[in-house]
Parts: sequence; structure tokens; C-alpha cells
Amino acid sequence: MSKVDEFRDKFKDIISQEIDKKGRYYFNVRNEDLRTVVRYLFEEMGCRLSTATGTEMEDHIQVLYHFSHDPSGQYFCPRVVVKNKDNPQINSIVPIVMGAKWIERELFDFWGIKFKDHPDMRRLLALNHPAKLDKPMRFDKEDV
Amino acid sequence: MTKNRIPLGPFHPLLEEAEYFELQVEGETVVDLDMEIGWMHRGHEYISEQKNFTQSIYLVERICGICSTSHPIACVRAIEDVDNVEIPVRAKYIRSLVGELERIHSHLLWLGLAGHFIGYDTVWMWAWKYREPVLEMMELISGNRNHYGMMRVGGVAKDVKPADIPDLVDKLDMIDKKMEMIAKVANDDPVLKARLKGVGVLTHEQAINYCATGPTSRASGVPGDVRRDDPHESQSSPL
Repeated sequence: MSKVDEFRDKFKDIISQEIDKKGRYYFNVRNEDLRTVVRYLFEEMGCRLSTATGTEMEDHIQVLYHFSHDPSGQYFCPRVVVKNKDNPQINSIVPIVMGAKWIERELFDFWGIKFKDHPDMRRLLALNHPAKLDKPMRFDKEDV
Repeated sequence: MTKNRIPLGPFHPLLEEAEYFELQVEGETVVDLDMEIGWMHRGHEYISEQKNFTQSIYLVERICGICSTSHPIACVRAIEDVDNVEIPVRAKYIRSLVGELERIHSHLLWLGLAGHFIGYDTVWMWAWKYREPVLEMMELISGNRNHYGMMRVGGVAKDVKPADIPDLVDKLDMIDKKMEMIAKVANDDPVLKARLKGVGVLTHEQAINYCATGPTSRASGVPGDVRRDDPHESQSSPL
């Protein structure tokens, strides 16, 4: 049984919209279930957080975490969809994976996504930017 | 002991690029550190949204002058992935060849700089002496010592000429021998040991928690090698 099948069996109730291709396994997970899934991926399976990416869509913002299961080369990518674009907020995974500290700060910096329970929710790259950048990657950003 | 705050940067002779460190020190010991890393942020993601596929390869090549193959290789592979492009086997090997040569010169570069930063310029001189032939090899293959411009969607820009191969092999053999010598010298060197041993230790748990990769994680006892775990190009089918 492959790692993906094992994972799917265990979490079939809380994951949806799966895409499984070329060693990358993407799935949606609700904000309240994110930590359960991440805890399993990181602590039980020993996955490594490779990175996280944010994307703004027409009616939502999504955050995609990329976990690499190094012994098998398989990637697990939980995606959280945030409907509230005015005040996007999701649960931070820093209490489980310390390595997510900076990438969550970057997502906060560029997309304005607030991470609940993040110990140090400051901007990362535009911390003291002279143009006072505010969510520069969003559609409705003001040109500076 | 009182804690002191020492600002370093964003523009400082020691730093290669603009970055800001705020050191908390107790006497000679750095006990805490805060940093600002956005000084060189140029918004490549945003710029590349406005470029076409071919232009974006050149753009990402300029993210880093030292690792100027890793970003374009990731970029062309992503584009090929979207379009299900299969590239010729020879192109796969040439991509890996360029990538591996870059890795060798990059490791020699940090080794030299590490020596330089701790005030031990002999290490710097030796490491960079043998980095030079690697750059010459890159010039022979691609025409450039840096920013090789070898990656194309669907393959590579240039073939490796058969007439150049004996020269490349000779240089590789020479570097191989010299690397063994350098590894032996560096491992035995009392100055390096005195300066580096027990400084800035990353424990096994920290390496896992902070998701360290490559040599950094291996130094903390976490096995990890992306070439083995997630092979690409010719790495999955070496000769």
C-alpha cells in the first residue's frame, strides 16, 4: 500500500478535491482540520516542510503547504481555502513545525493572511520597506 | 552579565549583500539574533507573471549569481511538467552535468568564504584556486563562467562537443584529487577546529523542527539528500 493510499484511508472524511500526479498529492482540508493533518504528516510520517505558497483567486485566497516525505520522494500538499478575503485568517502550523515560522510571515507580508497562534506575526521581507508596502501581491493593492 | 545589542548592516563590509542582523551579545557570545532579510527582495514572482515562458528562464537565472542553474532548471521543468514535454536523454545528462559542476563550484565558494570570514585566508585561497578550473569547464561547455544560459524548455542550449571531453575529464580528475587533499587538511586543521567546534550548534531535533536540508541536515545527523530522495534529470538513471 502506497503512502498516499494509507494517508487517504486515514483521512478520507476530512480531505477533499484530491489531485494525485507525478509524486505530488494535493488535497483540500478545512482550516480546523489543518493541524490534525499536519501533525500526522510531520510527527507520524516524518515529513519535512518544503515550503508554503499563497495564491489569490477571484473569490478566495488559498494557502498550499508542501510536505516532502523524503524516504519515498512523495509530496503531500494540504491546501486551505480562505473565503473571507477582507480579513483572511487561518491556523498557524508553527506550534507543530517550527520551520514554518518565516514562510507564514512571508504569506502575512504579501497576502495579508493572519496566522492564528503564530508566535511572531511580523512582516518578513517588507518589514521596513521605505514604500510601506501593504499586501503587495493582492489584486487590489495600491500602486506605490 | 549585561546583554548588549549590536546592529550589523544592512550595508556592511562583511556582508555580501544587503541584510540586517541585530545581535544580542553577552561579552563575546552571541546569545540571540534578529534579522531583516528583505533588503534584496526584487519581487521575481510578480515580475515573472508579466513575462512569457522563455523570458522567465532568463529572469530566474538572475535570482542568484552563484546558483545560476538551480532556478532555471526548476523553471523549465515546471513548464515542461505543465505541457508534458519529454526531453532527450542527452539533454538530461547535460542538464545534470551543468548542475553538478555548479554544485562543486558553489561548495568551493562557500568553503572559501567561510575561511575568509573567520579570518583564515589560506582556506579561501586554496578553495578558490580549485574553483577556478570548474569555472573554466563551465566556460568550455556553455561559453560563460557564470549565468550559463544553458536551460531551454525541451532541452538545453548547447551540446557538449566531443573534442572538449578529454579536457573536461582531465580537469575533473585533478579537482577530485585536490578535493580529497582539502577535505583531509580541513578536517585536521587545529585553527579551524578551535574556531568552529561547538559554535552555532544545530541539534538533531532543531534540524528536524526547522526542516533543514542537504549538508546542513546531514551535519546534524538527519539523513537528507535531494538527489537521492527526489531525483531529477539523469539522477534517476545514472550511467
